[in-house]
Amino acid sequence: MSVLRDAFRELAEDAPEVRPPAGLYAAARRRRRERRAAAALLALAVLAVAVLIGWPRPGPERFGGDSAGLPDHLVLPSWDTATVHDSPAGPAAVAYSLGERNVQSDDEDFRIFSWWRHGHTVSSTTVVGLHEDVYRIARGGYTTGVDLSPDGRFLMVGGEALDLSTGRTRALPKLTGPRPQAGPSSTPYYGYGGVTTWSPEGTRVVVVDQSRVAVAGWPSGRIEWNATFPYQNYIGDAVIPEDGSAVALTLDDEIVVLNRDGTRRWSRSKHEPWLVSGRAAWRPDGRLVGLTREVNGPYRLAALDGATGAPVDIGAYPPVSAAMGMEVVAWRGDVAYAIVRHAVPGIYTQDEIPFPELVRLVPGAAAPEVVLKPPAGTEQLAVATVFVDARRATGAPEFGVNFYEYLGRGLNWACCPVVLIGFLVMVRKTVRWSTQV
Amino acid sequence: MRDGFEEFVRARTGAFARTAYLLTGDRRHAEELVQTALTAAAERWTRLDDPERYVRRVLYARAISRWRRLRRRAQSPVGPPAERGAALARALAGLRPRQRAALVLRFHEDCSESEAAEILGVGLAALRDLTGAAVRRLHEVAPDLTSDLTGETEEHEGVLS
Repeated sequence: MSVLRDAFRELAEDAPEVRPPAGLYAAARRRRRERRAAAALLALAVLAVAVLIGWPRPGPERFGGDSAGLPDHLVLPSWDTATVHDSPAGPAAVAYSLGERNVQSDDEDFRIFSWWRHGHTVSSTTVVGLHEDVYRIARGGYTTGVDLSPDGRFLMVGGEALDLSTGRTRALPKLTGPRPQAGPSSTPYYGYGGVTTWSPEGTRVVVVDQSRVAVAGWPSGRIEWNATFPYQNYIGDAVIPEDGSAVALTLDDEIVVLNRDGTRRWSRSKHEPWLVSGRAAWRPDGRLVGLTREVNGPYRLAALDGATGAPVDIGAYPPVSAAMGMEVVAWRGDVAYAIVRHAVPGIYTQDEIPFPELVRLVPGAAAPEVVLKPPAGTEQLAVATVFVDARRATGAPEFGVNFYEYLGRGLNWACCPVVLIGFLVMVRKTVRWSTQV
Repeated sequence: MRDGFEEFVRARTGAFARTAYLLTGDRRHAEELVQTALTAAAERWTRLDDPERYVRRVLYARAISRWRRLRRRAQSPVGPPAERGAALARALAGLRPRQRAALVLRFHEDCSESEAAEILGVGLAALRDLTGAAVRRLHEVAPDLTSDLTGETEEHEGVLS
């Protein structure tokens, strides 16, 4: 034994007495499990973000840019498509919606799942650029709808006009006069929004509720005239001529044309059958174009004299079969462009859902010609009607990037394991407590 | 599993405490070091083939890293009052952490060169350099402690039998 070893032994004798705490083993094992769970969670989150960011995406190549027109075909947007609000892409050629299945639509009952989005919109709308294949998502109101202005710049959203070039909203003309009051036997008034729509060329806008109507210039918003009319339970459609001199309303059971002073110019039973539909239904020559349909038969175009309501000739247009409805949206001479809603079986139910297409109706033709067909599942479709006869080439779509979708979904996915682990820990503690007691 | 660990702790904690104290020169830090090493062993207990070796490796590794932190903060471990022990403590405080660890392994734990090298995670040549340098340094500051080592050689091969 050397001196150095003896010195070490002497020094070691002064070592403290170490008493490991009770439960050291269990505490250490528990900490290890917690660290492992945290590491797994972190790895999962990193993996999820990596997958989301690295997911194959269409390149930034765009098409067109020089000419405005409708695209050759439409595609479905990706889930992370940028919104009009965050990344406006200019006027749109097309607006379409798959209803609740349109991307970035909120769940009707579980709004908390999409906490990162503004508002609560259960049916968003996809807009497609007028010059390029740029796709954006518009959200607003409970359902966004597809009421696109004829020049494609504005979309009626939640009672306002969303400017697709800036992402900002503009107020619509205010209705004046007393609020609608239901009669004793009528359905009570509870904020029914009425109808807002554009004139055929988009130079005017009409706002209607259950007893008031206002026509204003657009985009100035200057009120040209206001009128009131007896309370109506239902306003189905509103059509004005380009000069804004009157308004035709489709009510519960009749068609009514009101003058600027609110007086009734004429009315006809809706069951005759005449059904005014579509913003271009009032032609510049004064004919009010509607639809006629025999029982279970196809739709056909028909016309009334806008001044008197008397039937007038419009020519022989091809019948539209298997349709649930049709809106005349533009004219090029005597050629009509219309959105036809075909009846197709529902996806989730046996109910029929409308599948819209843009068609061209040429006098004397045997059948309508399909101009634009949206993706399968589309329930609503609108086009910039000023450009209804202009086509542009279609290239690789550009969806933009919606950072908030990445963030919100990533955090949602990351929270799932945390919630699960928390639940399991709680269950375990409860079981332990009950067994100890 | 838990019973085995607790038996291991009862049997070996005293030895670990002495080693930790020699490595740190501080009673409180020695206690912390032992508890840290035992906790690390408990976490991996089911997968440890040689718990003794594992705990010792943790002790030495943590002691060296702790000593480096203390040195960065310009602090020194404080030695205990005693005669040869006090002299050794003062001398150890002036050594580099690996030198100190090498001495503890070789003169307190009586490890062979290969065992000491394995625990410190260095090669044999490096261990010999560390030990030789440590002994020379001890000889400079506390020649009495190395009186029976000096004279044989200043090279570690001769110094350490």
